[in-house]
Amino acid sequence: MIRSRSTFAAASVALAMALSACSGGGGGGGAAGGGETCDGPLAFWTWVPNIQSAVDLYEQTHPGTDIEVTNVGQGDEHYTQLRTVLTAGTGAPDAVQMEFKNIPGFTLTDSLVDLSQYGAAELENQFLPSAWRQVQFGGGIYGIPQDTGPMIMLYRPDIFDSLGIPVPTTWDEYIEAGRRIHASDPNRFISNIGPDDAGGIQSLLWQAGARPFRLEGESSLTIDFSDEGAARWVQTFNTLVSEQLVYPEPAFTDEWYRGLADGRYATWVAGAWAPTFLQTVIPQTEGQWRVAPMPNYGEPVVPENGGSSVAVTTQSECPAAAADFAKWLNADPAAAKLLNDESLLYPATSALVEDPAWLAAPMPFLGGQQANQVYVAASKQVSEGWQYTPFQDYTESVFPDTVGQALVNRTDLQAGLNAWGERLRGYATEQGFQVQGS
Amino acid sequence: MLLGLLAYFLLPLAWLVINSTKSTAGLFQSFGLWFASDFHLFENVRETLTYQGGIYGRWFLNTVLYAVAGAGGAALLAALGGYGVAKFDFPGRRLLLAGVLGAVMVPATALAIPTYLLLSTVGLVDTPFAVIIPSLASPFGLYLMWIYAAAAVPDELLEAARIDGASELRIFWSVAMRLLAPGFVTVLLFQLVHVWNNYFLPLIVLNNPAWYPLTVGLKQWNEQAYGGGGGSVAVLNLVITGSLLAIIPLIAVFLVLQRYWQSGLAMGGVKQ
Repeated sequence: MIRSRSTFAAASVALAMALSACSGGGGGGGAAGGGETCDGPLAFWTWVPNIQSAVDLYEQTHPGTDIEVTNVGQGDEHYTQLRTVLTAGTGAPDAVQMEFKNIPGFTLTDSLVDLSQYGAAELENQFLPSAWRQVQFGGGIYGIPQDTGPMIMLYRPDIFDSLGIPVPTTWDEYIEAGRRIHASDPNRFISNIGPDDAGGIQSLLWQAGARPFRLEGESSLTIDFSDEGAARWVQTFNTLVSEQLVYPEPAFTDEWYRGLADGRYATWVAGAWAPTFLQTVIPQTEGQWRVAPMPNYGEPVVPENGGSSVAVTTQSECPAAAADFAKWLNADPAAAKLLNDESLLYPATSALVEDPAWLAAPMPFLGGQQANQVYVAASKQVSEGWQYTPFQDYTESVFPDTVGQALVNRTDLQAGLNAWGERLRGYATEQGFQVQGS
Repeated sequence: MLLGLLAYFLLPLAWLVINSTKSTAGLFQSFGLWFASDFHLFENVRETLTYQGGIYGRWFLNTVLYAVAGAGGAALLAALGGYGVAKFDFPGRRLLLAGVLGAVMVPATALAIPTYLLLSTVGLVDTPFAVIIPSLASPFGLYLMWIYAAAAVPDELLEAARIDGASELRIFWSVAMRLLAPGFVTVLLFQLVHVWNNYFLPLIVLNNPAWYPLTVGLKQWNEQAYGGGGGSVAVLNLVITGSLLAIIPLIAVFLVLQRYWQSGLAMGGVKQ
């Protein structure tokens, strides 16, 4: 059990909000860079557990600063509230937690400040290239990477050993292992596949080489699932799904946790955050898991799954101070270490992933395995060129009705992808994009 | 058939009660509709009330404040309005009826951003008033009280009171309000449940967790448990126990107020 010790701001302290006038589009002013100090505290919205200790360290090492951390919710809650205050033109925080996949959407609505003007570009070599690529958009830098999620495979060695199956390294071997696992017990599967897990499937498409979403300029958008990479993914997963080797059950539900705990599922392919995540929900399985590189198509190519950054909103009246805080929080070695130790984030800084002590750290949950080495190897193999849509909320919301239906009904996944693309192209057209693709 | 229906409605509640007695590990090791080997209920309650510096208690009090102030105010306004429209003849009554019925049809979600803008213009965002003031308007309550007042308050009584020289306010308080009590309690109950369970309005107008009601707070814990956006904490047992504690007051209020409510339902069923 992890106990969160974040102390919330006292109720009596009203958030310092500029109620008088809208301060929209404040990104251009005061490009002094790092030196300005602002009156009043900086508001920082984040859901990361135990992040307060890293923030406290910032306040200690930077006298005169005051950061007010608010957890307005996580996932959808966070973005709903953020969108409301941005639309209203008042009440937005200065700095905000922002997942990589949401950066394009918020950037297109001019909600995030380009941090290049505050010297963010100088930090590039301190971060993993795979993380740094994901905060860039249209030539600007719209967030400082905080954690990344190179994909790996969690697996149950006891299941593989008892059946005498080698741990799969390619998707063909994975299919073969899946057949043998399912043959040994009809209620056992090599993995689940979430009919609602748009994020996971997008990562798998990324790995297969599909590049379905491409935005050029501000309005020219290509949405196309007919490339070679998509076909490669379809071929592999049509086999897995139609032979019922993977079971179409949503992840992150009580049922699914139970399935992971009692050996119904032999593997889980997910971001490097997955093992610590499992450790908190099913601690009783400690020692039963190991990590391995995820299966591939013959070449060691890895996608990202999850990961987030800290961005600065254009409503902020002190963008330089907020940028300074975002840079320090994620790039400073001491802060990165704190976030890794206390918030269990998989780091995005090169310094930490090259630290011998960190690389050699044994993970009790993984039976003492030095798992960080597996993650680092994976993050070096992340392939380039993947883009998310500028309306990721919508994109993921129609996934269950299209690809998800194909997964549940075990019908052709290419048709599912095409239906998804159809819906997205229609929506993009309504939103005023010049849409290409078929 | 009836048993099947009963099971359908009571199973979720039974599930909630049973699973409040489990630790997070127990949740995933035992059958969902039966108890785990360890009885963890008191531990869960203690943890729920102390987690994050006891913020749950604060959310609870916030919810009570919003529900009592919002529902009490809404019921009173509905009674005043409904009585006024039912018993006084003035131009524009039909238009008012259409307006109120139209207001029932507008989804609250569509009004979220306008509500936020209104409240932020007058500087009420992030204060309890941001939740209470919008809760005071209950178009359905007004409509219900209007119909009820028209049926339950005889014109003869009002005329008698006027001849005796009572002021209009006095007539409302001393005569009409007594007759309207069952309807009033019905609206109070409906609005109480509505405000208690309201999620979207407080989500939009509050950013400070210290003012959250239980709905938004528990959702936040739930997201934490499921790692929405990364970073999870094992608080599933607290979400479940917190949900159980959150519905107890509602059940209590329902049991206390239901006799008024029932008499209200039966009223007017017989022509005297």
